[in-house]
Amino acid sequence: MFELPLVITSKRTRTSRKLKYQYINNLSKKYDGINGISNGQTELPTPENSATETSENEEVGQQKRRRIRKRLKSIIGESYSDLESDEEQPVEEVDNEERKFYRKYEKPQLTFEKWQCDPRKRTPIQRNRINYNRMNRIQRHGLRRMETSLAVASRTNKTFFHATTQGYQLFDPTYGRANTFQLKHIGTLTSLLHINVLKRKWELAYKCFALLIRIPGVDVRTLWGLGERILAERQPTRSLEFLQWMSSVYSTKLPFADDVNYRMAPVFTKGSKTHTPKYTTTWLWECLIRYANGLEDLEMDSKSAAENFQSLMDRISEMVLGPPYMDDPEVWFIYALCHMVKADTLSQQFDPRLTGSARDIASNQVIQHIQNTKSHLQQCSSKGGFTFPKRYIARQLAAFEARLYGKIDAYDMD
Amino acid sequence: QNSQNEEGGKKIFGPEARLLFIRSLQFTLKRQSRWLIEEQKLPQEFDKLVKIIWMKLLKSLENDDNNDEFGEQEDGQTFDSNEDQDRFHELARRRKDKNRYRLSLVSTLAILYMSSVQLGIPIYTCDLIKWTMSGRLPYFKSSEKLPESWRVQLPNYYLGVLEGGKGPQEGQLFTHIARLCTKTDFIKEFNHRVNYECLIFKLVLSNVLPPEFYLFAIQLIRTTSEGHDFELNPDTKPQSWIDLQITAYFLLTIRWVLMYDTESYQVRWIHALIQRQKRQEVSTDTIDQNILKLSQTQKPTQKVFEWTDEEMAQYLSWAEEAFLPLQRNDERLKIDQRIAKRKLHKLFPLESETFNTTSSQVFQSKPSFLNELQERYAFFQGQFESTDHRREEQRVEDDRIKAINSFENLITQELVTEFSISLQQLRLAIKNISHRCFHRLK
Amino acid sequence: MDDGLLPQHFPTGAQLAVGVRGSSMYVPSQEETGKNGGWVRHFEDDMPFNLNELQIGKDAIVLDDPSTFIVEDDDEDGMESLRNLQDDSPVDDEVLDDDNEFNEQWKETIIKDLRWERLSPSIPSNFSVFQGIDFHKDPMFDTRYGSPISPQDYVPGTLINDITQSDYLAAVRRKSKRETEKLLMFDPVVNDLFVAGNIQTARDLRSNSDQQTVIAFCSGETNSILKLAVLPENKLHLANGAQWLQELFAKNVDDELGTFASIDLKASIKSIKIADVSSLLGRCSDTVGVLTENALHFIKIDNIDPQTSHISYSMHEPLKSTSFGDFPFADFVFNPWELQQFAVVDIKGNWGVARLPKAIKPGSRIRFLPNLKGSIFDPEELSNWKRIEWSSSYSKLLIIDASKMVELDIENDWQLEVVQAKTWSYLRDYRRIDDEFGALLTSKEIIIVSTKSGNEQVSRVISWKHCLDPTDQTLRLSIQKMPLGFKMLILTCIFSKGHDKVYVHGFCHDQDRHLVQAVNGPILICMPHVFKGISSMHFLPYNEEERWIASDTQGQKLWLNFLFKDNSTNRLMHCFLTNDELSDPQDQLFVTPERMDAVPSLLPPIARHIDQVRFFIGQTKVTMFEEPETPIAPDSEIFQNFGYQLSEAINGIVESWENQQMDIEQVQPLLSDLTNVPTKYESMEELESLLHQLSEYYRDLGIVLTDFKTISKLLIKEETMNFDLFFSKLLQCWDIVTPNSLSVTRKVFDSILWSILRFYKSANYDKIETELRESLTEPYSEMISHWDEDESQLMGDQTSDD
Ligand SMILES: [Mg+2]
Repeated sequence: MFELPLVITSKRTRTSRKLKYQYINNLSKKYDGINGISNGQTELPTPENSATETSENEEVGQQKRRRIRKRLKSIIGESYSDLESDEEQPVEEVDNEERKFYRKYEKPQLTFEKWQCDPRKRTPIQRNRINYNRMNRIQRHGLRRMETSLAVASRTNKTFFHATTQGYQLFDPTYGRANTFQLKHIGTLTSLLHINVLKRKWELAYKCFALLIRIPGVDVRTLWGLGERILAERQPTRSLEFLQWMSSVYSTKLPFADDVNYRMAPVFTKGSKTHTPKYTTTWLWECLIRYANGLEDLEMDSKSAAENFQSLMDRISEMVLGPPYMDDPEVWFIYALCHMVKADTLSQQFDPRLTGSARDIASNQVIQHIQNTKSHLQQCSSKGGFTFPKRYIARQLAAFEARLYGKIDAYDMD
Repeated sequence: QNSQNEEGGKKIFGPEARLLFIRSLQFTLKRQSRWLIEEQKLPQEFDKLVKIIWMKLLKSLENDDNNDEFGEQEDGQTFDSNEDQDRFHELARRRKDKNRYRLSLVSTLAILYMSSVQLGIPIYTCDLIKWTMSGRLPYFKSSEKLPESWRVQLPNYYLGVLEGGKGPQEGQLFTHIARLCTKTDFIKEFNHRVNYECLIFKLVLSNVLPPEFYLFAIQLIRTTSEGHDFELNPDTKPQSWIDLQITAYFLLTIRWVLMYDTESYQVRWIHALIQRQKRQEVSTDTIDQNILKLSQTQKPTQKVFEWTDEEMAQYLSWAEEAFLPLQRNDERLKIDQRIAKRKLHKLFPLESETFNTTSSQVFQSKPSFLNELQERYAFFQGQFESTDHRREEQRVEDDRIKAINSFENLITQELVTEFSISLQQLRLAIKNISHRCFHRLK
Repeated sequence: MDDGLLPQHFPTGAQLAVGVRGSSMYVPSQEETGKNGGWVRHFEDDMPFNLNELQIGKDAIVLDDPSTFIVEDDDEDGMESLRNLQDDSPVDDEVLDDDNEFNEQWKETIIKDLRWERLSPSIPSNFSVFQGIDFHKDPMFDTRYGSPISPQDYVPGTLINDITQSDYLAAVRRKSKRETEKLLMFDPVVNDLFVAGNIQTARDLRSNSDQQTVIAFCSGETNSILKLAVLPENKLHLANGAQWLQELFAKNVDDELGTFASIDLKASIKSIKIADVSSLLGRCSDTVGVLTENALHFIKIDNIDPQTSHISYSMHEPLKSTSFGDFPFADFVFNPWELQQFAVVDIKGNWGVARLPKAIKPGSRIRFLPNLKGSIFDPEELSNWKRIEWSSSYSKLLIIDASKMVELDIENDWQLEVVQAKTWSYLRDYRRIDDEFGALLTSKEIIIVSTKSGNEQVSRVISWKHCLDPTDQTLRLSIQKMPLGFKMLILTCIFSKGHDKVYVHGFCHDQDRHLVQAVNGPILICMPHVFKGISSMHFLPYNEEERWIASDTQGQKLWLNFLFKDNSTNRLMHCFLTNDELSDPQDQLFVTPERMDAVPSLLPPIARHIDQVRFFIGQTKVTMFEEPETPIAPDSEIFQNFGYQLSEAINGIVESWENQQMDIEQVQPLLSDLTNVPTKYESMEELESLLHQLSEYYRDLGIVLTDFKTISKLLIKEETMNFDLFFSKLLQCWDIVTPNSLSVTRKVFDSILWSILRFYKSANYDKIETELRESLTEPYSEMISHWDEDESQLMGDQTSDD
């Protein structure tokens, strides 16, 4: 009942997908034909789609480029991200029908679905309704070109195909899945992992996780959240270490290749030139919050929380120099919060009895952090697509500054 | 997958590939035979017999080679690799024309069974299935234990066959035995009488029944069957599978005895039998049995959800000691990837010391099979004695039948799993045996 | 645009999962209170109420059971055997017996082996063929019990044809071989098969009475009967609602009392709805909408008798799908702001808005509003599953199929594909929470979306990755909201037709609806009495929403009553979630095994063979327990005789081996086949030592006797050399359960012992092996030469070979 942490491809499911997409593509071609949309230009060349519209020739070119890129990558020494390479491959070059379908759509990196919130994309209501005659024409056309593929398909696939094309859905998710010994036990371990995390049985959950990541084919990127949670309960320091491991091993500065049929959605599982992986932001957030709260237990290294905090800020300052972090508003926001926390603590510790240069140094420090907070927030806003309580922060910063001048007026904190 | 694409040049095809596949099966068969001798303490001659039957099979392959085509593949096996697919399709179609025997890992189990029959060793299909499905007997992922050079050369569909898939399903093992009997002239040349006594004995023990059920069953068998009734035969129909026939006799005995010996076995006695003990401390054998049950259910998650912490810990220990070793480290990983992997494993170490819950301690001291058995008998008796005598009097005939039915159903479900057969198949065997009994009891 | 209290990506919102807690906001330290800086997070650990404390009730009670259900619907002959047994007069009629068998056979073929669930009606247990009646053998003449329409989802004829004409039936016929894999399809249009909602009739409004909670559910074998009943408000949140609910539904049987309005719609019901009216309207609806196979029915509740709870109703003229277009309806929804208005969508995505006539008079018809029609048809979308919901305002609609969500404004004439799910996920369900929030279930996440009218568009607020199988197309959502302290808790429950687990996750928002957070969770609950999966689930309405209790809820005991339908039995059941302590149902000394009544036997009936069997059992019992006769001779004599005869026999055989060509068959004879084995003896040790001596003697001749140790390892998983030890271990088990254990165990032991003791000559096998190996030709002879190579050696060899 839970999602398996690996990509399953069995002959049966592959064939059934192939049949389905062949049919869908036939339908959609006919439909476009009826509606007078010219061939080849099935999609209106919207800005984000034009990038994915590639002719056959261009596709070959892209593949070539990808190969070169890969080679370059290993030369540059970025090869540690190559754990990815066993998955970076296109799903099946053979499954053209599926590729044809997928190529038409933008593949979002931030979410599983493409969410459209721009009112400018509104169109007038589609008034033309589909009727039986037209539907029938499309369906007949869709089936006509399927005869050969269906003739060689297995009975199961045929039935699956007919059920799907009649608008029915399959009842049993395990239907058609290769339920081998291997997959059954991976499935059992996965279920046990989830069940024990839900029941907060951390020791059992830990063992499930430790076993799963040792099974070849199991992709830790689909499980890292659970791993983080388990470690956070057992050995909090380790959980940060794990997130750091995720971020360093699975980071990439390559653009997301839109023309590849990935089996795995990038959200939660990977990054690209334009997408900071979730484990990296999670790592930064967790570091920030734990260091700020001084929560970090010090058994691992003798560093104090303050030192940890400083090293976090140093790290972020390096990160924001390059993609994808430099364009990620969330990373900038975290950076800003680092300074805000600093400003808060320093202004708290500020001793109003100080005089002279000592006072200037101390207050300058606070002012500096406040300034940094503001400028990083500025950066954050300029990247767009990120909202935060601006006025609230502004009020807080003002309050920090006020502490320096001893004016402890009542600031409404709500 | 993909690296195999790249190394595609090394793959071999055609008769050459088939030979390598047969050699791989031989390799696995040898490993299995060695495991049985080492772990189950079988005599050294066992290996000799396995070899003899294997050679008999090779001999028959020699004859087949004239009109040869290749491509051994079990139904229901899966191919998780996309290459060779069209090729395989082609083969599959050709294969359908002929109903020839297809070698697979199930064949190796069949050979082990036949060797045991010849030697009169009480190993039954259920034992082999249990050891297989619990990952003890070399079977699953045997492709990964082959010498590396073979693995590289073997085409993917053969590697798929050697993965083991789901394991033998729905009486596959029995049909393989029947087919191999034909192929190897087993009936003509070998001792093919199956020892029914020991199977009945095992069934009686595993169902916590008193010894008279053994005697009843043996008596029923002796009165209603003839010598050749328990001889292996080349018939592939479920009613001809010997282990199933013996099992059918066992079920029939239980039903009849419980039905007509109302004095000795009260309804509450039957109820007590149904209340099987859910034990926390179990022997290795029971754990293996549980793993088997798990592998045979359609939806393992359903089962897993009801597990106690102890059962989960038992499963996880099993996974660590039996399932994980079947996995093979991916040798295609580059050095830096391996370092990264190692670092990850270090973050999540699997040392048993880190797993210091009470349950793991429980697990370390597994009771022996007999200790567990004694406690199960004691539990049953306790259960029986604790029930109210007075209720017995109010019972009607109907209650008795209901109780028998549900007890029988419980056993049936377990048997279906243990022998890896379908209910349908068991039903046919029972039907056949009960007709035989009716006929011969006259 | 007002900033939320928490930072987040726009329009992505907060994306949470186990171990992923999203972005946070720093709350600086406050000198006055001496508080250190803290954090506000999307993932709230500190709810006044802990989801993890919720437990499901131990049992569920069945409220409505539309059909007589047999758990394993493929066991007809078991029932047969029961009947035959009850029938005291043995029927010795061969012909009838054959008839029965014949009927069994085709019934079997038709009913069980067609692996549709209950596509054919289940044959009731009391169905029997009477003797003497001329029974037609043609299956065509079989009387089908009761239901003219199958209670199953409609399956198109072409599909059935396709299956039956292909080798499907052939596969069924050779049932001996394999059970064909179950083909399990479902009609995705089937939605809620029951609903509990608030109804306020016109009379209630006039008399200023409160709304009443009405439950509407489908019943009957074919799911075509709609039943309505009033749930008394004062009992809705009793600690354990089970009892009164059961009583209420029990009255159902008694039609005279009229508690339940029962309406036969003559077609399978696919969905039932009661309008979810906007709180702005300050009133509730009085209409129940029901979607059936071919039409939409609207039942207007005219009056609910305050004393008897009798419901009087009138019905609008059904709205046939043909009056809308060429395709059947897939979903419909009431306008939350205008009670007479509703919208429909058909299976292809055509939608329209219609209006109910104010009064039900002859001739008054439901009319579609002109111009308020359109389509979201997508040739790529194959599934019939569609959803239609009202969005943030009375002119905005959401239309959803598996791969997109379209928002449209019927007044301002625009539409927008808000969600496009063509790549990584599919949409599975959508539930409206209130005017401002909705919950969208995808194959990957539960997403709380904001439909605030202030927003331009529907947008994501917060999501939770549920990790459930993304290929499970039957995932559906059920939600329940309830005020808790200063927050509103929104429970989202995911259930499936594939299993009995419900995945519950919680979200909450504050009174201003600025701060939306996920609560600590999720939890997984297991529904009792569910055999396959859950088809619908609903909480009973929590009518305290208006009374937002702004109090500390720490320690507040919650009882969340919900109803659900199991999709294999179609039974309507009640259960509850609570954080209160559950009292254990008293452990009865005598627990009747579960589902015992439903279990038929696998064995064929004994019928006319009763006497033989009875005689056999009696006979065997006598011989079994008869006291062991004292041996006729002392042990020494018996064993001496036996030893002599045995060695004679062995010698004979060994000699024959030398002289002639032997078959492998004879290489391994059973001792008990060679001579009479002793059965009446006293000392096991004597026997053992005799066998030991023999074994020693023959070892020199290269002849080996079966090692008892090996066998005992296989039988009892430990090596016991000693007969006596083996015996006493068995005795320890059996002593407690049987009288006469000593003699009986002895009998068992003897029987086992003589079934395993064999002897063989090792050299014989060598000889056979050599012969065989020599007869093999290339390439197999080369292959077999590697047999005895060590595994590691082989590994080494191979690598050096290449
Ligand atoms: Mg789609």
